[in-house]
Amino acid sequence: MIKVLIVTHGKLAEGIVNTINMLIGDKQDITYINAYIDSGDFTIQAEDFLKKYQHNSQIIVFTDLNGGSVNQKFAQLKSCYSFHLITGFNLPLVLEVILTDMQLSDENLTEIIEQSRQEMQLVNIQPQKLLEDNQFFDD
Amino acid sequence: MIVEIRVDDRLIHGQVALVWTKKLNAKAIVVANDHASKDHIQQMTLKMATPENVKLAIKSMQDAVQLINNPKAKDMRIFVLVNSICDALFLSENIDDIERINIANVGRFDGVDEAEKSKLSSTILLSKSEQVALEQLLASNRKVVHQIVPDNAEKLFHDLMSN
Repeated sequence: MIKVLIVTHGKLAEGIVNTINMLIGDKQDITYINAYIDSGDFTIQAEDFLKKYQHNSQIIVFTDLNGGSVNQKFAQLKSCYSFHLITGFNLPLVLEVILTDMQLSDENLTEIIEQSRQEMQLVNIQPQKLLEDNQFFDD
Repeated sequence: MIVEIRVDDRLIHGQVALVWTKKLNAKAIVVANDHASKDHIQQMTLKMATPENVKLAIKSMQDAVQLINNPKAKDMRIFVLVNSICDALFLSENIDDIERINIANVGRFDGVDEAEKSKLSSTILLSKSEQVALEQLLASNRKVVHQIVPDNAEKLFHDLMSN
């Protein structure tokens, strides 16, 4: 089973969970931490999560910025806990991981990250060639 | 075979492209819509919304029937999108192999005054002609459901009406 934790500076984490719930449905099992919105130490909540799930789930943590303090903190925690850490996430990436909903190897994750990276693009409207019926049925 | 005909007033959008195509394990999407079959700008945006490895056909109602009734379509998992119940009824009457019809979102952007529509839920607003089509569809033997996102329970449309 996969456990997802999203941690960001401010409320992006909560926001992306809100969007995911709108897209896939309300019952998504996603934990988020809006870091630094008050003086509390978010690492306590983070470590509680990691402790609780590291032994019976695959944990995937998403952080917002490579080089940001949130990601630095989790990079350090990797020496104490077992989890995957992905930084600089986008919505297609998080959706893909959640929809896949199975154990993911480093290779799987790298592949999903590459696909999701392609979803970020400058939109150019160009005429599309529609498929002919025989192309539609081609393998 | 058609794994689902989805009635959705936005045709292909985020939920449909990313989430439903995957859940239904669809290999192809057919947008059956007379307007879209002629509107090149809409075709571009529909293509843009379609996942990379999924085939897309955008057809008039008549041509959609012809495409899907092609024997080659029998073994292909096809996900069909229409934006009205009238169009879903037309396909239902002209195509045999349909697993289910999902009336998800309808009538929000059809330009008909809201006061003239009957509101079954926040995303289902039915004009007079849509109500007639719905009655006919429900009277057929098709499985007609309402399920906006996969995590919602599948509700029989019949039950939605009696609430």
